[in-house]
Amino acid sequence: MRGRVTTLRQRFIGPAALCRLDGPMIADISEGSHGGRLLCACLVNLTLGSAVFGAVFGGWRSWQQGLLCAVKMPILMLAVTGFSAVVNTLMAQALGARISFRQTLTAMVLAFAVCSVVLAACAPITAFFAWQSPAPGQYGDRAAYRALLVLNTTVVGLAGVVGNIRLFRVLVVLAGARRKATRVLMAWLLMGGLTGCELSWVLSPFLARPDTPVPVLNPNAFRSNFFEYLFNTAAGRALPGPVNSSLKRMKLGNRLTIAATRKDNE
Amino acid sequence: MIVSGIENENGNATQSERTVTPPRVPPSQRRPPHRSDENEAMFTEEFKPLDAVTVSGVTDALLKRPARLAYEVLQGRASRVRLVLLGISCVGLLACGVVMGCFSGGAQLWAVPIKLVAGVLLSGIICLPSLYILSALAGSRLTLGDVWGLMLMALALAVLLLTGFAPVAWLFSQSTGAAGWMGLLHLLLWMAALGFGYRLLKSAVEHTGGRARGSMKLWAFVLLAVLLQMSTVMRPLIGPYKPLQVGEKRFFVQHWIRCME
Repeated sequence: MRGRVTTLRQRFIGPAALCRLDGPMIADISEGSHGGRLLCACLVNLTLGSAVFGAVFGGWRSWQQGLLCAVKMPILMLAVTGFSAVVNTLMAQALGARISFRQTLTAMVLAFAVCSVVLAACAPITAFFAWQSPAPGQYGDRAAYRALLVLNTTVVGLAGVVGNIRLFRVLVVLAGARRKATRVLMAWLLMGGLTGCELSWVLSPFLARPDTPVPVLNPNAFRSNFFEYLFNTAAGRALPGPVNSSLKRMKLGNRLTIAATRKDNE
Repeated sequence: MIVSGIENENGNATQSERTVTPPRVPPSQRRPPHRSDENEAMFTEEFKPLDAVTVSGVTDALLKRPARLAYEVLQGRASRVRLVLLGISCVGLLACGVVMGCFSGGAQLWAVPIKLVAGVLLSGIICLPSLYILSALAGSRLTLGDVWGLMLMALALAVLLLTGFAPVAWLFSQSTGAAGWMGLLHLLLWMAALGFGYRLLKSAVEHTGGRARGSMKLWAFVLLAVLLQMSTVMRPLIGPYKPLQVGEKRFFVQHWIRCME
């Protein structure tokens, strides 16, 4: 039993090895000789890393939000991979790089695994700052909510960019030339950004406002989209966002209660 | 120490043989010349075992031959060296805490040293995973234990320098009553000492194959932010004694503005 555990531990590719992305690992990806071991390691690191960061992200609001976020973050990463793997393969081939679907999938999962590992490494720091922010219900909770949302979103964005840029070395080998690899990387980054924004909108809220209940999913997920929401926010229009719709319902409820009380008094 | 092949978290090689040679990058694969190359060359030359792992030997090596200490942390008597470094850091921080506490006297004389040791070690533990991952992203082949050892080495050097600055800080603390001014002075001294520690850590990471300077700078910035926030958690470090105000949450910039007011 102990021998088997030791063999498993020896065979498992740890987070540092994934981040380092040594020559043999790149060769494994390009030759397709990893036999699923690399893919498994990436999936394990991706799931655990993003779940840890998700728990910290939502944990400030409540433990339920933390739990939801811990489930949503790995789903978000895997969904972005799933939605953009086919189009990324097509784009890479159109840009002159002979990259197969299997290689694209492995490379993308690897990029998100590195991103998740970076997120997990940042989790103690964000947890410390979240612990030092006023808790929901305390004075200054709205400012803390905004600051934490900006901090966590920036960390996720940066980790995503780091993960994708880490892929460059793999892409140079797969595409055969630096110029082609740069073009493919840019295309993949754009595609990842596009699908990532929309999927994060669908799976939102990752951090609900402190004065609203925590919805499991965005009630307006399929009535609007991320970019429409962003445009409306910039234009100062009414926002059908995940948080605002809940808030609107609360405000409407309050107004109705006040009107009913007034009627009763009259 | 593993030289080639994929390895797991415990440092066990999966595709290659085990050797005991230092994990160095071949000269052909190294980055283009930089102004810190001279430091790195010195580091490489001195990367040998230490004569004796004693408190005085380690203190001497920290200041004069840090590469020898790095050798012990990475390939030699690692656990013993880490213990000595931790001891030096704790004792030095206690001494610095007493000097900081001298400004107000009374209960601060024992409260500040304890807060300082707890705060600095906690900040180090919080930032350890990010240093490990960022050094791996930079290409370094260090294990978590190695990173912990190198971080302790950098901390011990910073604390040694701070202990050296202590008489100057004490002199100023006896001649002024302005807490804001003393805070600024301590901040400057800490920044200078941490700068030396960072330089040592960067040289060690680069020696083990790490090449991306940006990631180390990013980590230094994060560590600084965590240390500054920790100083707010442990407040007041300068000024009259008050029990820990963990319940009252405050961002460090906000705390500074209040202090200045």
